[in-house]
Amino acid sequence: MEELQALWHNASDEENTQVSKEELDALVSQSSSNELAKLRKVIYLEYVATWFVLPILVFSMYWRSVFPLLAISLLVLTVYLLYFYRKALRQFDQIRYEDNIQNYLQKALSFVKTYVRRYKMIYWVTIGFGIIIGYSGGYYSEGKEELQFTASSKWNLAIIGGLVITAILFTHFYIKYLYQARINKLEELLQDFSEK
Amino acid sequence: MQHKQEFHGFLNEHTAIIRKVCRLYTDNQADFHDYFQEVVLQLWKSFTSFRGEAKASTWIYRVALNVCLSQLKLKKRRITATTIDPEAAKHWADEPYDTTQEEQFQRLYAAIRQLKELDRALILLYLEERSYEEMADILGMGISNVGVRINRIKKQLNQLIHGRAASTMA
Repeated sequence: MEELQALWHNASDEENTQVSKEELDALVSQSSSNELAKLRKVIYLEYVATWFVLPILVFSMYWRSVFPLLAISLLVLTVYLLYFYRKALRQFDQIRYEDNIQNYLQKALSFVKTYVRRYKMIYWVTIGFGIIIGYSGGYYSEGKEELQFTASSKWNLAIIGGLVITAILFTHFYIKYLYQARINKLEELLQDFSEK
Repeated sequence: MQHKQEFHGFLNEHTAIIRKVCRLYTDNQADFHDYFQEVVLQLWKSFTSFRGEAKASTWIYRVALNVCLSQLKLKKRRITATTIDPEAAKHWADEPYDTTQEEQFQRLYAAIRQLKELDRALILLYLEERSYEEMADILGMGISNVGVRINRIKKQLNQLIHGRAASTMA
């Protein structure tokens, strides 16, 4: 192995090519290709958007409480989402490049998993609320004409339901394709640390 | 401005480390350039927070390895020596030097690239003659684990190199 070390050090001259001031300016002025930072941006935008939803929800509940149970559930969910996004942002802030490799990978993995969990949460919540709205609509339809489901609207409902399920399935496989491979890669790298 | 000048000097003092790390995790010049840029950018961003608590080289290894590992493409690619275009590889060097050495060096890189990602980091640090303590510190592993793995990787690397090009490396 000594000859390899010698070869490695002989090659150092080539690697020592200096970076000019102009090159440095160009390098640091370009935008980062850091994928984790991009995911963080998405989470931050959703976090801000959720803050806007909160007062609107409270106002709607006060102004016209059509389905009190649904409104309360939405409010609880929004508060939970705010907590969830805040936690995810904190998780990201703990990721530091100057950390040791194992710690960095663990934190990165945990953040990517949270990011993916958020997708799953969104589509399960969509299904859940779809069922609640459907059930509440049927329940309230007896007394309130505007909420009645007629025979023809059942077809519309079926089409909308179909579209929602398609969108959910699409999102599910899209996430799997896009992020599952990265999660597997990070897990594989981390598993490598425990092997001797 | 002065801060940037300070960083410029610092970067040029340690540029070899960054280039070597990036080269081990890429097999083409476009990726190499992307990785190099990202490492420099992240070093620049955290340069103010670097207070010399860790050795400068340790800090750079950590940032460079973390950036490269997180930038890794998802495709499973095992690189062999034959996949490297010698002409393209020659362009990586700005100054021409001994051809035999160039070939040996490229062969060494190609062999290292066939190792697992973590093993590449370990052998890089070994070739850079870092102590086991520093390797453990950079990677977040136990010292004994580093020792065991280094011995295994050395054998593996010897097989890869000598198995393919016994005449040039012996």
